[in-house]
Amino acid sequence: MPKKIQYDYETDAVLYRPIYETGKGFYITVGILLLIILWALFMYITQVWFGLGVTGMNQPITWGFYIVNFVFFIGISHAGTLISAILRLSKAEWRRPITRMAEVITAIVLAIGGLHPILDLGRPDRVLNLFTAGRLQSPLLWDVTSITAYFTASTIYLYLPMIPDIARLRDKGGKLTWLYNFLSWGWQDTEHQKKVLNRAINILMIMVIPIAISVHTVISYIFSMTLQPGWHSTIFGPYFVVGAIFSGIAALLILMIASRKVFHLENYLKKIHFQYLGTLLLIMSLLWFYFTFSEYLTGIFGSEPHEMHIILYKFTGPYAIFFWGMILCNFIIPVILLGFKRFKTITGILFASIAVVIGMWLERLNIVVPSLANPRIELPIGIYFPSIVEWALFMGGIAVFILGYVLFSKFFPIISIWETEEGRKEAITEVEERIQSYLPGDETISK
Amino acid sequence: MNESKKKINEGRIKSMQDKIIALAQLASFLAMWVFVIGITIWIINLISVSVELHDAPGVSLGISLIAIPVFITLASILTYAYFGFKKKDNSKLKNSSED
Repeated sequence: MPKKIQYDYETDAVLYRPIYETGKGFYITVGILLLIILWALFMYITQVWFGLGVTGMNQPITWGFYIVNFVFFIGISHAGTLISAILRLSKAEWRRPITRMAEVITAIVLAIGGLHPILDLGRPDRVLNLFTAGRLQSPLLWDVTSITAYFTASTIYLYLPMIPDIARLRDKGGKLTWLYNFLSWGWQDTEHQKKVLNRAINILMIMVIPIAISVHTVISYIFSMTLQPGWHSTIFGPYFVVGAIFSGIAALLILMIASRKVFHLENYLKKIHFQYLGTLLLIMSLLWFYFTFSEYLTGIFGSEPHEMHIILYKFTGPYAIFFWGMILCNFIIPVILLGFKRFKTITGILFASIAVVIGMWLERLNIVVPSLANPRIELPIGIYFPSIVEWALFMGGIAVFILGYVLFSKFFPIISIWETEEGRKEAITEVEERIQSYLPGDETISK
Repeated sequence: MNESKKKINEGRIKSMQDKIIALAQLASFLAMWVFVIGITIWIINLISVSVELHDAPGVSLGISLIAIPVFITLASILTYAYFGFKKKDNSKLKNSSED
Protein backbone atom coordinates (compact mmCIF):
# COMPACT_ATOMS: atom_id res chain seq x y z
CA MET A 1 0.00 0.00 0.00
CA PRO A 2 1.52 3.38 -0.99
CA LYS A 3 2.53 5.68 1.86
CA LYS A 4 0.06 8.51 2.44
CA ILE A 5 1.73 11.87 2.01
CA GLN A 6 1.27 14.19 4.95
CA TYR A 7 0.41 17.76 4.09
CA ASP A 8 -2.55 18.58 6.33
CA TYR A 9 -0.33 20.20 8.96
CA GLU A 10 0.94 22.75 6.40
CA THR A 11 -0.36 26.33 6.53
CA ASP A 12 -1.07 26.12 2.82
CA ALA A 13 -2.50 22.57 2.88
CA VAL A 14 -5.30 23.57 0.54
CA LEU A 15 -2.74 24.27 -2.19
CA TYR A 16 -1.35 20.72 -1.94
CA ARG A 17 -4.77 19.04 -1.91
CA PRO A 18 -5.39 18.93 -5.72
CA ILE A 19 -1.99 17.23 -6.13
CA TYR A 20 -2.41 14.51 -3.50
CA GLU A 21 -6.14 13.90 -3.68
CA THR A 22 -7.89 12.94 -6.88
CA GLY A 23 -11.67 13.02 -6.98
CA LYS A 24 -14.12 11.59 -9.49
CA GLY A 25 -14.54 15.03 -11.03
CA PHE A 26 -10.96 14.97 -12.25
CA TYR A 27 -11.41 11.73 -14.22
CA ILE A 28 -14.77 12.82 -15.64
CA THR A 29 -13.36 16.17 -16.76
CA VAL A 30 -10.28 14.58 -18.32
CA GLY A 31 -12.46 11.95 -20.03
CA ILE A 32 -14.81 14.52 -21.57
CA LEU A 33 -11.93 16.70 -22.70
CA LEU A 34 -10.12 13.72 -24.26
CA LEU A 35 -13.28 12.81 -26.18
CA ILE A 36 -13.51 16.36 -27.59
CA ILE A 37 -9.81 16.28 -28.49
CA LEU A 38 -10.20 12.89 -30.22
CA TRP A 39 -13.17 14.24 -32.17
CA ALA A 40 -11.09 17.27 -33.23
CA LEU A 41 -8.20 14.99 -34.19
CA PHE A 42 -10.51 12.85 -36.34
CA MET A 43 -11.81 15.98 -38.06
CA TYR A 44 -8.27 17.19 -38.66
CA ILE A 45 -7.32 13.86 -40.25
CA THR A 46 -10.40 14.26 -42.47
CA GLN A 47 -9.13 17.68 -43.48
CA VAL A 48 -5.64 16.41 -44.26
CA TRP A 49 -7.14 13.50 -46.22
CA PHE A 50 -9.68 15.46 -48.29
CA GLY A 51 -7.99 18.87 -48.30
CA LEU A 52 -9.17 22.34 -47.29
CA GLY A 53 -12.37 21.81 -49.33
CA VAL A 54 -13.94 20.39 -46.17
CA THR A 55 -13.66 23.80 -44.50
CA GLY A 56 -15.87 26.82 -45.15
CA MET A 57 -12.93 28.73 -46.66
CA ASN A 58 -13.29 29.60 -50.34
CA GLN A 59 -12.39 32.25 -52.89
CA PRO A 60 -12.02 35.08 -51.97
CA ILE A 61 -12.22 34.25 -48.22
CA THR A 62 -9.05 32.21 -47.87
CA TRP A 63 -8.61 32.85 -44.15
CA GLY A 64 -11.29 31.74 -41.72
CA PHE A 65 -11.58 30.25 -38.27
CA TYR A 66 -7.98 29.06 -38.09
CA ILE A 67 -6.44 32.51 -38.49
CA VAL A 68 -9.17 34.08 -36.34
CA ASN A 69 -8.39 31.55 -33.61
CA PHE A 70 -4.65 31.97 -34.10
CA VAL A 71 -4.89 35.71 -33.39
CA PHE A 72 -7.41 35.09 -30.59
CA PHE A 73 -5.36 32.45 -28.75
CA ILE A 74 -2.11 34.40 -29.04
CA GLY A 75 -4.01 37.39 -27.66
CA ILE A 76 -5.22 35.37 -24.66
CA SER A 77 -1.61 34.41 -23.99
CA HIS A 78 -0.94 38.03 -23.03
CA ALA A 79 -2.84 37.33 -19.84
CA GLY A 80 0.04 35.62 -18.31
CA THR A 81 3.63 36.45 -18.64
CA LEU A 82 3.04 40.10 -19.53
CA ILE A 83 0.62 40.80 -16.68
CA SER A 84 2.70 38.77 -14.24
CA ALA A 85 5.86 40.61 -15.28
CA ILE A 86 4.20 44.02 -14.93
CA LEU A 87 2.82 43.14 -11.48
CA ARG A 88 6.19 41.79 -10.31
CA LEU A 89 8.04 44.81 -11.70
CA SER A 90 5.67 47.25 -10.00
CA LYS A 91 6.01 45.24 -6.76
CA ALA A 92 2.25 44.84 -6.51
CA GLU A 93 1.94 42.64 -3.43
CA TRP A 94 -1.52 41.39 -4.42
CA ARG A 95 0.08 39.60 -7.36
CA ARG A 96 1.27 36.58 -5.33
CA PRO A 97 -1.75 34.26 -5.74
CA ILE A 98 -2.25 35.28 -9.38
CA THR A 99 1.10 35.10 -11.17
CA ARG A 100 1.42 31.29 -11.45
CA MET A 101 -2.05 30.90 -12.99
CA ALA A 102 -1.38 33.74 -15.39
CA GLU A 103 1.95 32.24 -16.49
CA VAL A 104 0.40 28.80 -17.06
CA ILE A 105 -2.25 30.32 -19.34
CA THR A 106 0.48 31.86 -21.48
CA ALA A 107 2.51 28.69 -21.91
CA ILE A 108 -0.48 26.49 -22.85
CA VAL A 109 -2.34 28.97 -25.02
CA LEU A 110 0.78 30.00 -26.94
CA ALA A 111 1.42 26.37 -27.89
CA ILE A 112 -2.18 26.01 -29.10
CA GLY A 113 -2.27 29.34 -30.94
CA GLY A 114 1.11 28.80 -32.55
CA LEU A 115 -0.10 25.56 -34.15
CA HIS A 116 -3.12 27.18 -35.83
CA PRO A 117 -1.31 28.43 -38.96
CA ILE A 118 -0.29 24.78 -39.54
CA LEU A 119 -3.98 23.77 -39.32
CA ASP A 120 -4.60 26.36 -42.01
CA LEU A 121 -2.28 24.54 -44.40
CA GLY A 122 -3.87 22.03 -46.75
CA ARG A 123 -0.49 20.30 -46.86
CA PRO A 124 0.90 20.55 -43.32
CA ASP A 125 4.12 18.83 -44.39
CA ARG A 126 4.98 21.99 -46.32
CA VAL A 127 5.66 23.79 -43.05
CA LEU A 128 9.08 22.13 -43.29
CA ASN A 129 9.82 24.42 -46.25
CA LEU A 130 10.28 27.13 -43.63
CA PHE A 131 13.59 25.60 -42.67
CA THR A 132 15.06 25.67 -46.14
CA ALA A 133 13.23 28.35 -48.08
CA GLY A 134 11.66 30.66 -45.52
CA ARG A 135 11.74 34.38 -46.27
CA LEU A 136 12.84 36.35 -43.25
CA GLN A 137 11.56 39.47 -44.97
CA SER A 138 7.98 38.23 -44.63
CA PRO A 139 5.89 39.28 -41.59
CA LEU A 140 4.77 35.64 -41.40
CA LEU A 141 8.36 34.62 -40.59
CA TRP A 142 8.61 37.46 -38.06
CA ASP A 143 5.61 35.83 -36.42
CA VAL A 144 7.30 32.44 -36.29
CA THR A 145 10.39 34.00 -34.74
CA SER A 146 8.62 36.23 -32.22
CA ILE A 147 6.14 33.56 -31.11
CA THR A 148 9.00 31.07 -30.63
CA ALA A 149 10.90 33.67 -28.59
CA TYR A 150 7.82 34.48 -26.50
CA PHE A 151 7.06 30.81 -25.93
CA THR A 152 10.66 30.14 -24.85
CA ALA A 153 10.71 33.18 -22.54
CA SER A 154 7.29 32.36 -21.07
CA THR A 155 8.17 28.73 -20.41
CA ILE A 156 11.38 29.74 -18.62
CA TYR A 157 9.47 32.46 -16.77
CA LEU A 158 6.91 29.89 -15.64
CA TYR A 159 9.48 27.24 -14.78
CA LEU A 160 12.07 29.15 -12.75
CA PRO A 161 9.68 30.50 -10.08
CA MET A 162 8.20 26.99 -9.81
CA ILE A 163 11.49 25.39 -8.74
CA PRO A 164 11.18 26.05 -4.95
CA ASP A 165 7.65 24.58 -4.98
CA ILE A 166 8.79 21.57 -7.03
CA ALA A 167 11.52 20.97 -4.43
CA ARG A 168 8.87 20.94 -1.68
CA LEU A 169 6.92 18.29 -3.59
CA ARG A 170 10.16 16.32 -4.04
CA ASP A 171 10.84 16.44 -0.30
CA LYS A 172 7.37 15.17 0.50
CA GLY A 173 8.06 11.98 -1.47
CA GLY A 174 5.47 9.92 -3.35
CA LYS A 175 5.18 8.31 -6.74
CA LEU A 176 6.53 11.18 -8.79
CA THR A 177 9.54 12.02 -6.62
CA TRP A 178 11.89 11.23 -9.53
CA LEU A 179 10.08 13.80 -11.70
CA TYR A 180 10.16 16.48 -9.02
CA ASN A 181 13.78 15.62 -8.30
CA PHE A 182 14.61 16.06 -11.99
CA LEU A 183 12.72 19.35 -12.26
CA SER A 184 13.94 20.87 -8.98
CA TRP A 185 17.55 21.33 -10.23
CA GLY A 186 19.02 20.53 -6.83
CA TRP A 187 17.13 23.26 -5.00
CA GLN A 188 17.90 23.24 -1.26
CA ASP A 189 16.43 26.61 -0.30
CA THR A 190 19.85 28.15 0.45
CA GLU A 191 20.37 31.90 0.53
CA HIS A 192 22.68 31.67 -2.50
CA GLN A 193 20.09 29.79 -4.54
CA LYS A 194 17.43 32.33 -3.59
CA LYS A 195 19.70 35.14 -4.72
CA VAL A 196 20.35 33.42 -8.06
CA LEU A 197 16.64 32.71 -8.57
CA ASN A 198 15.57 36.27 -7.78
CA ARG A 199 18.23 37.67 -10.10
CA ALA A 200 17.16 35.37 -12.95
CA ILE A 201 13.47 36.25 -12.44
CA ASN A 202 14.30 39.97 -12.36
CA ILE A 203 16.17 39.80 -15.68
CA LEU A 204 13.42 37.70 -17.23
CA MET A 205 10.56 39.96 -16.15
CA ILE A 206 12.24 42.93 -17.80
CA MET A 207 12.95 40.93 -20.97
CA VAL A 208 9.51 39.42 -21.24
CA ILE A 209 7.60 42.72 -21.47
CA PRO A 210 9.08 43.94 -24.80
CA ILE A 211 8.96 40.39 -26.21
CA ALA A 212 5.24 40.09 -25.36
CA ILE A 213 4.46 43.49 -26.88
CA SER A 214 6.45 42.65 -30.00
CA VAL A 215 4.55 39.39 -30.50
CA HIS A 216 1.13 40.93 -30.93
CA THR A 217 2.52 43.89 -32.82
CA VAL A 218 4.11 41.46 -35.27
CA ILE A 219 0.84 39.51 -35.53
CA SER A 220 -0.92 42.74 -36.51
CA TYR A 221 1.72 43.21 -39.22
CA ILE A 222 0.35 40.17 -41.09
CA PHE A 223 -2.64 42.36 -41.80
CA SER A 224 -1.33 45.92 -41.69
CA MET A 225 1.65 45.32 -43.99
CA THR A 226 -0.76 44.54 -46.82
CA LEU A 227 -2.56 47.28 -48.80
CA GLN A 228 -5.93 45.63 -48.12
CA PRO A 229 -8.70 48.07 -47.06
CA GLY A 230 -9.62 47.48 -43.43
CA TRP A 231 -6.15 46.10 -42.70
CA HIS A 232 -3.68 48.71 -43.86
CA SER A 233 -3.51 50.79 -40.70
CA THR A 234 -0.66 52.22 -38.63
CA ILE A 235 -2.71 51.88 -35.45
CA PHE A 236 -2.96 48.08 -35.77
CA GLY A 237 0.19 47.31 -33.73
CA PRO A 238 -0.88 49.00 -30.47
CA TYR A 239 -4.55 48.16 -31.19
CA PHE A 240 -3.71 44.46 -31.26
CA VAL A 241 -1.57 44.71 -28.12
CA VAL A 242 -4.38 46.47 -26.21
CA GLY A 243 -6.90 43.88 -27.45
CA ALA A 244 -4.57 41.05 -26.43
CA ILE A 245 -4.08 42.36 -22.88
CA PHE A 246 -7.82 43.03 -22.67
CA SER A 247 -8.81 39.47 -23.65
CA GLY A 248 -5.94 38.08 -21.57
CA ILE A 249 -7.15 39.72 -18.36
CA ALA A 250 -10.68 38.48 -19.04
CA ALA A 251 -9.46 34.90 -19.58
CA LEU A 252 -7.35 35.11 -16.41
CA LEU A 253 -10.37 36.29 -14.40
CA ILE A 254 -12.53 33.42 -15.70
CA LEU A 255 -9.83 30.91 -14.78
CA MET A 256 -9.32 32.48 -11.34
CA ILE A 257 -13.03 32.33 -10.56
CA ALA A 258 -13.26 28.70 -11.78
CA SER A 259 -10.14 27.67 -9.78
CA ARG A 260 -11.43 29.44 -6.68
CA LYS A 261 -14.65 27.45 -6.86
CA VAL A 262 -13.17 24.06 -7.82
CA PHE A 263 -10.10 24.08 -5.53
CA HIS A 264 -11.70 26.07 -2.66
CA LEU A 265 -9.20 28.91 -2.86
CA GLU A 266 -11.48 31.50 -1.27
CA ASN A 267 -8.79 32.37 1.31
CA TYR A 268 -6.23 33.04 -1.40
CA LEU A 269 -8.17 34.56 -4.28
CA LYS A 270 -10.04 37.20 -2.35
CA LYS A 271 -12.57 39.78 -3.46
CA ILE A 272 -9.83 42.41 -3.53
CA HIS A 273 -7.95 40.53 -6.27
CA PHE A 274 -11.06 40.47 -8.44
CA GLN A 275 -11.77 44.11 -7.70
CA TYR A 276 -8.27 45.15 -8.80
CA LEU A 277 -8.26 43.02 -11.93
CA GLY A 278 -11.85 44.10 -12.64
CA THR A 279 -10.75 47.74 -12.56
CA LEU A 280 -7.89 46.88 -14.91
CA LEU A 281 -10.39 45.17 -17.24
CA LEU A 282 -12.58 48.28 -17.19
CA ILE A 283 -9.61 50.49 -18.09
CA MET A 284 -8.68 48.13 -20.94
CA SER A 285 -12.29 48.20 -22.17
CA LEU A 286 -12.21 51.99 -22.38
CA LEU A 287 -8.81 51.89 -24.04
CA TRP A 288 -10.03 49.29 -26.55
CA PHE A 289 -13.04 51.46 -27.39
CA TYR A 290 -10.79 54.48 -27.86
CA PHE A 291 -8.62 52.56 -30.35
CA THR A 292 -11.66 51.15 -32.18
CA PHE A 293 -13.26 54.59 -32.38
CA SER A 294 -10.02 56.16 -33.70
CA GLU A 295 -9.61 53.40 -36.27
CA TYR A 296 -13.10 53.81 -37.72
CA LEU A 297 -13.25 57.61 -37.37
CA THR A 298 -10.12 58.14 -39.47
CA GLY A 299 -11.47 55.70 -42.08
CA ILE A 300 -14.87 57.41 -42.26
CA PHE A 301 -13.38 60.92 -42.26
CA GLY A 302 -11.03 60.02 -45.13
CA SER A 303 -13.94 58.44 -47.08
CA GLU A 304 -11.61 56.53 -49.37
CA PRO A 305 -14.12 54.48 -51.46
CA HIS A 306 -12.60 51.02 -50.88
CA GLU A 307 -12.12 51.70 -47.16
CA MET A 308 -15.69 53.05 -46.85
CA HIS A 309 -17.03 50.00 -48.64
CA ILE A 310 -15.48 47.70 -46.00
CA ILE A 311 -16.60 49.92 -43.12
CA LEU A 312 -20.21 50.00 -44.35
CA TYR A 313 -20.06 46.27 -44.99
CA LYS A 314 -19.05 45.76 -41.34
CA PHE A 315 -21.75 48.14 -40.06
CA THR A 316 -24.65 46.92 -42.19
CA GLY A 317 -23.59 43.81 -44.15
CA PRO A 318 -24.16 40.14 -43.39
CA TYR A 319 -21.54 40.25 -40.61
CA ALA A 320 -23.03 43.38 -38.96
CA ILE A 321 -24.47 41.29 -36.14
CA PHE A 322 -20.92 40.27 -35.22
CA PHE A 323 -19.69 43.85 -35.37
CA TRP A 324 -22.42 45.18 -33.08
CA GLY A 325 -22.10 42.06 -30.91
CA MET A 326 -18.43 42.96 -30.52
CA ILE A 327 -19.30 46.51 -29.36
CA LEU A 328 -21.88 45.12 -26.94
CA CYS A 329 -19.53 42.49 -25.46
CA ASN A 330 -16.32 44.54 -25.39
CA PHE A 331 -17.66 47.90 -24.33
CA ILE A 332 -21.28 48.17 -23.22
CA ILE A 333 -21.49 45.05 -20.99
CA PRO A 334 -18.09 45.47 -19.25
CA VAL A 335 -18.58 49.20 -18.68
CA ILE A 336 -22.00 48.61 -17.09
CA LEU A 337 -20.89 45.63 -15.00
CA LEU A 338 -17.53 46.98 -13.93
CA GLY A 339 -18.32 50.68 -13.81
CA PHE A 340 -21.02 50.46 -11.14
CA LYS A 341 -20.14 49.27 -7.65
CA ARG A 342 -23.46 47.43 -7.35
CA PHE A 343 -22.63 45.09 -10.26
CA LYS A 344 -18.92 44.75 -9.55
CA THR A 345 -19.30 41.51 -7.62
CA ILE A 346 -17.41 38.30 -8.44
CA THR A 347 -20.45 37.11 -10.46
CA GLY A 348 -20.62 40.45 -12.26
CA ILE A 349 -16.90 40.31 -13.04
CA LEU A 350 -17.33 36.74 -14.34
CA PHE A 351 -20.11 37.82 -16.72
CA ALA A 352 -18.09 40.81 -17.88
CA SER A 353 -15.05 38.60 -18.49
CA ILE A 354 -17.05 36.03 -20.47
CA ALA A 355 -18.52 38.87 -22.55
CA VAL A 356 -15.03 40.26 -23.24
CA VAL A 357 -13.62 36.87 -24.33
CA ILE A 358 -16.56 36.43 -26.74
CA GLY A 359 -16.28 40.05 -27.87
CA MET A 360 -12.56 39.79 -28.56
CA TRP A 361 -13.08 36.63 -30.59
CA LEU A 362 -15.72 38.52 -32.61
CA GLU A 363 -13.24 41.36 -33.06
CA ARG A 364 -10.73 38.96 -34.62
CA LEU A 365 -13.50 37.64 -36.90
CA ASN A 366 -14.43 41.21 -37.88
CA ILE A 367 -10.85 41.98 -38.81
CA VAL A 368 -10.13 38.82 -40.82
CA VAL A 369 -13.30 38.01 -42.76
CA PRO A 370 -14.98 41.25 -44.03
CA SER A 371 -11.78 42.56 -45.67
CA LEU A 372 -11.28 39.27 -47.51
CA ALA A 373 -14.98 39.05 -48.47
CA ASN A 374 -14.67 42.30 -50.48
CA PRO A 375 -11.76 41.91 -52.87
CA ARG A 376 -10.74 44.81 -55.08
CA ILE A 377 -10.20 42.54 -58.09
CA GLU A 378 -13.14 41.38 -60.21
CA LEU A 379 -14.52 38.72 -57.91
CA PRO A 380 -18.00 38.48 -56.42
CA ILE A 381 -18.45 39.37 -52.73
CA GLY A 382 -17.68 36.28 -50.68
CA ILE A 383 -19.51 34.74 -47.78
CA TYR A 384 -18.01 32.48 -45.17
CA PHE A 385 -19.67 29.84 -43.02
CA PRO A 386 -17.34 27.73 -40.92
CA SER A 387 -17.78 23.99 -41.44
CA ILE A 388 -18.11 21.32 -38.75
CA VAL A 389 -14.37 20.59 -39.19
CA GLU A 390 -13.48 24.16 -38.22
CA TRP A 391 -15.87 24.13 -35.27
CA ALA A 392 -14.40 20.80 -34.12
CA LEU A 393 -10.86 22.16 -34.23
CA PHE A 394 -11.95 25.29 -32.38
CA MET A 395 -13.56 23.17 -29.66
CA GLY A 396 -10.49 20.94 -29.69
CA GLY A 397 -8.22 23.94 -29.10
CA ILE A 398 -10.29 25.04 -26.09
CA ALA A 399 -10.34 21.44 -24.78
CA VAL A 400 -6.54 21.18 -25.06
CA PHE A 401 -6.24 24.41 -23.08
CA ILE A 402 -8.56 23.22 -20.28
CA LEU A 403 -6.91 19.78 -20.22
CA GLY A 404 -3.47 21.38 -20.03
CA TYR A 405 -4.56 23.50 -17.09
CA VAL A 406 -6.29 20.60 -15.30
CA LEU A 407 -3.19 18.39 -15.70
CA PHE A 408 -0.90 21.18 -14.55
CA SER A 409 -2.98 21.65 -11.40
CA LYS A 410 -2.76 17.88 -10.78
CA PHE A 411 1.04 17.93 -10.72
CA PHE A 412 1.98 21.41 -9.52
CA PRO A 413 0.50 24.01 -7.15
CA ILE A 414 -1.47 26.60 -9.12
CA ILE A 415 -0.66 29.22 -6.51
CA SER A 416 2.99 29.78 -5.72
CA ILE A 417 3.48 28.42 -2.20
CA TRP A 418 6.94 29.85 -1.57
CA GLU A 419 5.90 33.30 -2.77
CA THR A 420 2.84 33.18 -0.51
CA GLU A 421 5.07 32.28 2.45
CA GLU A 422 7.55 34.98 1.49
CA GLY A 423 4.64 37.43 1.39
CA ARG A 424 3.59 36.46 4.91
CA LYS A 425 7.12 36.67 6.31
CA GLU A 426 8.68 39.61 4.53
CA ALA A 427 6.18 41.64 2.50
CA ILE A 428 4.62 43.64 5.32
CA THR A 429 7.99 44.93 6.58
CA GLU A 430 9.16 45.51 3.01
CA VAL A 431 6.03 47.47 2.09
CA GLU A 432 6.32 49.53 5.27
CA GLU A 433 9.93 50.37 4.47
CA ARG A 434 8.99 51.22 0.90
CA ILE A 435 6.22 53.57 2.03
CA GLN A 436 8.65 55.18 4.44
CA SER A 437 11.02 55.80 1.54
CA TYR A 438 8.23 57.52 -0.46
CA LEU A 439 7.32 59.88 2.34
CA PRO A 440 9.02 63.25 2.68
CA GLY A 441 12.10 63.14 4.88
CA ASP A 442 15.82 62.69 4.98
CA GLU A 443 17.03 60.31 2.23
CA THR A 444 19.40 58.46 4.60
CA ILE A 445 16.66 57.86 7.17
CA SER A 446 14.33 56.60 4.43
CA LYS A 447 16.97 54.16 3.26
CA MET B 1 24.33 -7.89 9.23
CA ASN B 2 21.60 -8.28 6.61
CA GLU B 3 20.15 -4.94 7.52
CA SER B 4 23.46 -3.15 7.07
CA LYS B 5 23.85 -4.81 3.63
CA LYS B 6 20.34 -3.71 2.76
CA LYS B 7 21.20 -0.16 3.81
CA ILE B 8 24.37 -0.18 1.70
CA ASN B 9 22.40 -1.44 -1.31
CA GLU B 10 19.75 1.21 -0.84
CA GLY B 11 22.48 3.82 -0.61
CA ARG B 12 24.02 2.58 -3.87
CA ILE B 13 20.66 2.61 -5.64
CA LYS B 14 20.00 6.12 -4.34
CA SER B 15 23.37 7.41 -5.54
CA MET B 16 22.82 5.74 -8.94
CA GLN B 17 19.38 7.38 -9.20
CA ASP B 18 20.89 10.75 -8.28
CA LYS B 19 23.53 10.34 -10.98
CA ILE B 20 20.90 9.46 -13.62
CA ILE B 21 18.81 12.47 -12.63
CA ALA B 22 21.87 14.76 -12.70
CA LEU B 23 22.67 13.46 -16.20
CA ALA B 24 19.07 13.97 -17.36
CA GLN B 25 19.16 17.53 -15.97
CA LEU B 26 22.38 18.23 -17.83
CA ALA B 27 20.92 16.74 -21.03
CA SER B 28 17.77 18.89 -20.80
CA PHE B 29 19.87 21.96 -20.12
CA LEU B 30 22.09 21.18 -23.14
CA ALA B 31 18.95 20.61 -25.24
CA MET B 32 18.07 24.26 -24.60
CA TRP B 33 21.41 25.33 -26.08
CA VAL B 34 20.96 22.94 -29.04
CA PHE B 35 17.58 24.59 -29.65
CA VAL B 36 19.04 28.12 -29.49
CA ILE B 37 22.03 27.24 -31.69
CA GLY B 38 19.62 25.53 -34.11
CA ILE B 39 17.52 28.70 -34.38
CA THR B 40 20.65 30.80 -34.88
CA ILE B 41 21.85 28.53 -37.70
CA TRP B 42 18.38 28.59 -39.27
CA ILE B 43 18.28 32.40 -39.23
CA ILE B 44 21.82 32.64 -40.65
CA ASN B 45 20.81 30.20 -43.40
CA LEU B 46 17.77 32.36 -44.28
CA ILE B 47 20.01 35.44 -44.44
CA SER B 48 22.41 33.67 -46.79
CA VAL B 49 19.47 32.64 -49.02
CA SER B 50 18.23 36.24 -49.15
CA VAL B 51 21.77 37.47 -50.01
CA GLU B 52 22.08 34.84 -52.73
CA LEU B 53 18.72 35.81 -54.25
CA HIS B 54 19.25 39.58 -53.72
CA ASP B 55 15.94 39.44 -51.85
CA ALA B 56 16.05 42.36 -49.38
CA PRO B 57 18.91 40.97 -47.26
CA GLY B 58 18.99 44.16 -45.15
CA VAL B 59 15.56 43.38 -43.68
CA SER B 60 16.63 39.81 -42.86
CA LEU B 61 19.74 41.14 -41.16
CA GLY B 62 17.70 43.63 -39.16
CA ILE B 63 15.34 40.93 -37.87
CA SER B 64 18.22 38.60 -37.03
CA LEU B 65 19.99 41.33 -35.07
CA ILE B 66 17.03 41.33 -32.68
CA ALA B 67 16.07 37.65 -32.72
CA ILE B 68 19.45 35.95 -32.18
CA PRO B 69 20.48 37.96 -29.08
CA VAL B 70 17.04 37.39 -27.51
CA PHE B 71 17.39 33.60 -27.75
CA ILE B 72 21.00 33.66 -26.57
CA THR B 73 20.09 35.84 -23.57
CA LEU B 74 17.24 33.48 -22.62
CA ALA B 75 19.56 30.47 -22.76
CA SER B 76 22.18 32.39 -20.78
CA ILE B 77 19.67 33.14 -18.00
CA LEU B 78 18.86 29.45 -17.80
CA THR B 79 22.58 28.61 -17.74
CA TYR B 80 23.13 31.13 -14.94
CA ALA B 81 20.31 29.60 -12.91
CA TYR B 82 21.44 26.02 -13.60
CA PHE B 83 25.04 26.56 -12.48
CA GLY B 84 23.99 29.01 -9.76
CA PHE B 85 21.80 26.36 -8.13
CA LYS B 86 24.52 23.72 -8.40
CA LYS B 87 27.20 25.93 -6.87
CA LYS B 88 27.95 24.82 -3.33
CA ASP B 89 26.79 27.33 -0.80
CA ASN B 90 29.18 27.76 2.14
CA SER B 91 26.58 29.52 4.22
CA LYS B 92 24.38 27.22 6.26
CA LEU B 93 21.23 25.84 4.72
CA LYS B 94 18.34 27.97 5.79
CA ASN B 95 16.36 25.02 7.02
CA SER B 96 19.19 23.55 9.07
CA SER B 97 20.00 26.90 10.63
CA GLU B 98 16.39 27.24 11.71
CA ASP B 99 16.52 23.76 13.26
